[in-house]
Amino acid sequence: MAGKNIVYKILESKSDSVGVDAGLTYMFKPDKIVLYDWPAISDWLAEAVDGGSEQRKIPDPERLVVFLDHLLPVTNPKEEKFHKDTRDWCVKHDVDYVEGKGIGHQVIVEEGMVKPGMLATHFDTHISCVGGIGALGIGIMKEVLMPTVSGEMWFTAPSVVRINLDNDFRDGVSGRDLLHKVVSDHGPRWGLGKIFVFGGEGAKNISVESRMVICNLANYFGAITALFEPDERTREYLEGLGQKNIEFVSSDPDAAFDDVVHYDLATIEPMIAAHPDTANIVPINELEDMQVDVGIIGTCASGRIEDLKWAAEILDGKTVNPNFKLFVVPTTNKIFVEALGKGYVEKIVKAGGFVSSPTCDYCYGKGVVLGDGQKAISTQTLNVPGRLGNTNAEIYLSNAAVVAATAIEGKITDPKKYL
Amino acid sequence: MESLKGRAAYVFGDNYDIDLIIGIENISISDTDKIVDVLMYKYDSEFKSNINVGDILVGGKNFGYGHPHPQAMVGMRAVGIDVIVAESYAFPFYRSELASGMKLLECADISTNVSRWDELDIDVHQGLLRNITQGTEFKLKEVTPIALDMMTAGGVEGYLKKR
Repeated sequence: MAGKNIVYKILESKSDSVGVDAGLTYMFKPDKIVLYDWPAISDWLAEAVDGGSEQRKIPDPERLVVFLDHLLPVTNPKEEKFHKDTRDWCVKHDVDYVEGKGIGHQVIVEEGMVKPGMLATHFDTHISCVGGIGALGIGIMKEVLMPTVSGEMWFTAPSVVRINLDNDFRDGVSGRDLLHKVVSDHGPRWGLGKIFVFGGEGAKNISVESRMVICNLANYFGAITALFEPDERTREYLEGLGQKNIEFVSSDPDAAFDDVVHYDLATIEPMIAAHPDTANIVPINELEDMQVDVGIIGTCASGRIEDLKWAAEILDGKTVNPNFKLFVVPTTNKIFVEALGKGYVEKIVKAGGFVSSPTCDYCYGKGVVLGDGQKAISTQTLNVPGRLGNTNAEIYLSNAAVVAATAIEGKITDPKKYL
Repeated sequence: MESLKGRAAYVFGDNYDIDLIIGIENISISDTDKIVDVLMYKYDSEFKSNINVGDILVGGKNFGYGHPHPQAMVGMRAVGIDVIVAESYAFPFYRSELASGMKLLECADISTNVSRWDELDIDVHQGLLRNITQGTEFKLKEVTPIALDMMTAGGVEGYLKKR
């Protein structure tokens, strides 16, 4: 009999059932329930917990964590009231909230709130980010009320697809491009009902930060979620964050998968998710020389130390094009401070970049808004028209190096000439 | 669950991002009346007055693709639409809207076999959808028992109360 894969090992460890079989539905106990405050979601959840005839109690408040990482900085009293209501609700229920540390999907990993082998849920689908350290992140949106008040979530055991990676990226190519390539090859529905496991020799060449980006955006190809097999690189990353006694859950060497596909990282070019949606993937050479007005490096899909290092190296001694505005947003304060210490921020600022403290707001048109007819190149999560505050503008998604190179030239540029 | 009868209020294509129902610029609105004011404004400016309670949305494959926010379906329920039949759903959308009280059904090729305002009659227990206007009949994909319980209970809040 074939061995077990990492997904089924994690799922079985979170279920009271003896064994978990594909296609059947079970109750699972997530290790961490993560939320952020956002209108019509967190206020709805708070009301659902507190309102009505039943005064519900949260059974395990220590399993919950709430991030105040959107609507930051606050720009009107209504938003501050919204945050205050969230804080008050957390205090009332003895739930931790985190404010001013950065974007939650990264902070939960930095602070060890989610560890390898854990099951984390959230209403936000980008919780899949934790797959970068070998944890299972499953976003269930408003249904997160169920684990919040009962400690359990239902889930139908899915198909599991293995993506084996070989070789290494060339300069100027990252996990973001691999993700875009998978969407380009297989389309936005390939992953429906499936979880994806990345591994193979080439995976060792991908940083944990880049792994988190790949997993973060797995819903681009329809996946429920994705994760990487944890390895020594995972261990080094977590030890670098000061974590100890790190334990992994991994697939057995002879683990069964429903499908196995291969990618040669060396053959991947920078790939852009072009206007108007994340399934519209084109190789960078088809867009080179297109004039662009605004660039953003940041959000939960970038803004980590390797992205800032890239931006600093590319912009070192150069000047942002006078017709271009570059915004750089480190994902967390920890990353921001590290980038300051390493001189990355200085190089970006001296080149003319606008550097902001961590916030989710650059991802949906609150941090920066495009003018009519403008185009942006961005590392953010989505490019649906309006995601930068103007439906009469276009958003192109890429890795951070492409944004930095484009910032110098004012037109979409392959970063390899600057690396 | 009783038979679900209504007209096809709109037929959406594949990989449809439901945030477009209200426009991305409106994804942080929390006031239901304001959501209804912008509902489908790019598709049908008279949408609200054209709708009858019980009308049905029809979707293609991967309905709810992207990063769906709750507002669009808050608006749909406010005008009386709580049934969707699509060819398949994006995972987060399915879970969120099932929890919110939408009745979410799957039916292969339905988006190309229904025109806007066709009269539909759905029998969830028998797993059948009849397009009365066109005189055709389609099989629904079987619904998971817990999903059926949640639909019957009107969403996760009702489901938790019953449990």
